[in-house]
This record gives sequence, C-alpha cells and structure tokens, in this order.
Amino acid sequence: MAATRQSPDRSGPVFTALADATRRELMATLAARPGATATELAADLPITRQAVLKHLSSLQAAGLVASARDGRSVRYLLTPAPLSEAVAWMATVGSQWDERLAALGSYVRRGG
Amino acid sequence: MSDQVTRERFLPADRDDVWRALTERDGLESWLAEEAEIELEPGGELRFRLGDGQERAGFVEEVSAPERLSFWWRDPARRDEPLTRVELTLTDAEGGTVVRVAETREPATVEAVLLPATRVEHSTGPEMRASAGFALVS
Repeated sequence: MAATRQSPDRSGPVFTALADATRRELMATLAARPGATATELAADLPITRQAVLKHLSSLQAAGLVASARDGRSVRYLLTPAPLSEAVAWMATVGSQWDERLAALGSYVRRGG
Repeated sequence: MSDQVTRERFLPADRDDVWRALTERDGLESWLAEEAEIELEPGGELRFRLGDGQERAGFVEEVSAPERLSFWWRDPARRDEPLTRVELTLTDAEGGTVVRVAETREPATVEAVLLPATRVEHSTGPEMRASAGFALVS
C-alpha cells in the first residue's frame, strides 16, 4: 500500500491554528484580501477586531501569517509556506470527526 | 501518497447499541447528519445532509455487524475532488465500546478510480451496484 500521511502532532502550532473554524475563516478572508489591516478583516468577519488580533497572533506564531508596518497601520499577509493543503484537510476532517464522535457519545449515553 | 485522519473514542454503551447508532436512520440523524439515507449493503448508496448544510453522497463498501462499516463519500457539489473512504470500527472494551474512525483521501489519480471498483468487486454486492459505484467515481 502507498505511504500514508498521518495527522501531524496535534499539539503543534500549525495544527492548533488550523483546528479552529474561525481561524480558518480568517485565513480565507486574508487570502482574498492580502495586505488587509485587522480593522478591515474584522469588517468581513463576525468577530471583533480584538478577536481578529488574537487569532492573527496564533497564526503568526504558527508561521502562517506575516505582518508589515505601513505608516501607522499594520498589514497582514498569508504566508502558507509551512501550510500544506494536506495539513489543512487533516485539521478540518479531524475536527469534524471530533464533533461527530462527541455527538455519538451523547446519543448513546441518552439511551439512543 | 494518501492522507488519513483517525480518531478513537470510548463509549460507555454496548457494542450493539453503538452499531445501531451507526447504521439506523434515527441514530445517524442524531450525530452525523441532519438527514441520512443509506442502503446498508456493499455497493448501496448513501446520501447525507450535514449540519452545516453540506451534502455527502457515495456508496457503502463493507457492512460487518457489529464490527465494521465502511463507505466512500464526497460532497456532490465538488466533483473535482475524489471520494474519501470512511471506516468505522467497533471493539468491545471493559464497560463499553471503542469506536475508531479512519477517513482516508487517496490522491486524485488512476488509483482513485480503480480502488473503489476493486473494493466493490471483492464484496458480495450485486453486479449492478458495483457498476453504480464505479460510475460515481468517474
């Protein structure tokens, strides 16, 4: 059988960054708007500018986002070099199954 | 090279009860989908509408009560992506059941076309179903 890539270390910063649906949405927004400020990003998302900054900080720590000062603003850019599409797929699908198995647990415990 | 996600969870419930949750409509609609249709035999069709509005369509590979259910599925709106394989395995454990899921994504090459057909061939499903399974992949 061909080699199989397994889910990477679940405590790693890239995995953690991607396992959150809001952060994935932020990354998608940033992909469409390279060089956006936190204020501009918050305008497109259902979260506050403060929350955007918190998420950007996680993404920067994971090496997925870079920032650059532009006068008094800070602009952000997606830097997907450490991100492979496979890792994103694994994080998304892993989160989906975590939710489903939790729901399954609740269902059988209810006597379903 | 294929990609795989696995998860395991212990459930304080009998394996037969967990198997029912995996294979009956009421069960599936409690934890996996808002709406679930599944023909529970090799080559049988399945169609789910998930909680987030996405859909999944595909076919069943193996039904081995009360131990293993496997199927292939994909979002029908994304025909550029290959089907992924889902395998759910139940194991008896002290005080309950361990459920293990493995979802595998094969590369979108010839293998993705041949592999499901090969698996369906090895099942005991009727030939008509095997053709339906193959057509879904192409």
